[in-house]
Amino acid sequence: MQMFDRVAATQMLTLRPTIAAAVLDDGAVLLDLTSKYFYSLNGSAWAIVQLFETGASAADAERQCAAWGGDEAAAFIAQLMRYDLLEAAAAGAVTVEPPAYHGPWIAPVIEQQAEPLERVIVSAFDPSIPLAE
Amino acid sequence: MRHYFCGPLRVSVDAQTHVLHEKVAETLRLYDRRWPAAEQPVALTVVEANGSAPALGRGTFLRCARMVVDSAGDGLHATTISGSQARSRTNAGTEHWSIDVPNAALGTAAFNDVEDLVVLALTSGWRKAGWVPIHGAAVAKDGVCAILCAASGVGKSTLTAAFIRRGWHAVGDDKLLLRVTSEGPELAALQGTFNLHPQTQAWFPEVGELEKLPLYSTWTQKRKVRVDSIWADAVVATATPTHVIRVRRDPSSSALCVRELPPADLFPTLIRQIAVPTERAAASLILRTVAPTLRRVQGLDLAVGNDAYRRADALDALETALR
Repeated sequence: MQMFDRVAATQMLTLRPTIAAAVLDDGAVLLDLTSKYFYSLNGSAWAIVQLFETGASAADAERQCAAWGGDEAAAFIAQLMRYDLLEAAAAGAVTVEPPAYHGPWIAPVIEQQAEPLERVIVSAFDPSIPLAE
Repeated sequence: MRHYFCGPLRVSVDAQTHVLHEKVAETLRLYDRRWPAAEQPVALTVVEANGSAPALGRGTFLRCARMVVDSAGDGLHATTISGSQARSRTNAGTEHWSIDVPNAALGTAAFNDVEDLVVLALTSGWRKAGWVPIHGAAVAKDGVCAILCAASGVGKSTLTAAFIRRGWHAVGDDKLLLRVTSEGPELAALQGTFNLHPQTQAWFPEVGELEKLPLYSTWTQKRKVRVDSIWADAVVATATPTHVIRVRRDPSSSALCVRELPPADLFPTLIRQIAVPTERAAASLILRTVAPTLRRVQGLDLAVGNDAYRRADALDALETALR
């Protein structure tokens, strides 16, 4: 089993609380509310990420991914860690029923948008970059 | 106390002085589309403050050029760099905002920071009413409705005017509200005004000599005009979005060039027109509204060349793509 940079494969992990998700037709988008970066996920990537909504270990995710027909979970979780989207789960976190995955398995893909949303904007209505005064 | 109607909001204003009241009303009047059912109550109390200005917050909810907003208990606390502040609390379904303006700011440029606080109160109220504010324009005709997405100054207003001249209706020029109901996404108008640059007259003579109108902001040469003062019945109250158009400038061209927007660019295009707070609940409402909307729309990319509207057939290809 592949080990990760900072955590053991049995360490329970969850999505950071600053991550918000939106489900799209062919996957999902994650928005990191702190960094304002957002990430596009294909369907299989979103299925794996959902395992971490309440808590799962990397080993749990690898097992579930294998059940879906894939063997890329370890590399994908390492990518989630590099993007700083996961954190150690609080004590007592429990794994829930995995989401359904329909159709043939495809390799999970997560892409970080090159430009984050603006961190400082004009006003509560206008997300533009403020002009210099 | 006076009442104003800003889309779905019924805003009551209790100001200590006439000057303070007029400053708040100036902002509220920008959102001049009164909806038939304006039911979400918002109460603004505005007073002059003496003494030292509050320390600027950390911006845990939102960071703006002249204002930061922090979550505070069950409400928000906003502070501006000129020393004005606002606190919100919700009581019996009404969101109450207490706005303090330092008396040293009255009559100075810093007084304009009150607008930021009032807009914050409005955006919070709109979200509580289930609507997501979008800084974009939209046009509609025969069951087609396109949201025009671009940064300020790229040409949303001019493109909207060009559509109107071809029989389309404006849902809004600059400020819209979006929600999703069981019947799907719905876009609604907040304003019946346009912000047009005086040079628009070169393409659309009927707008008249805009440079004779007063500036409404020190930051732009645009003038604010009522749409129906130029084109009768050109504004509709609501529409169902069917398209998202990413509008961008192309100085190397002298035409409008339309092509399909890659699906992966749809979400970034629309979300960049929305001020997304850092707070998860507020951000989640936005994502829960944007995502189902995107499942129903097609994306187009529009490159606007220099002097593109000179040609009478400038919008032909775009209209064809929208059909």
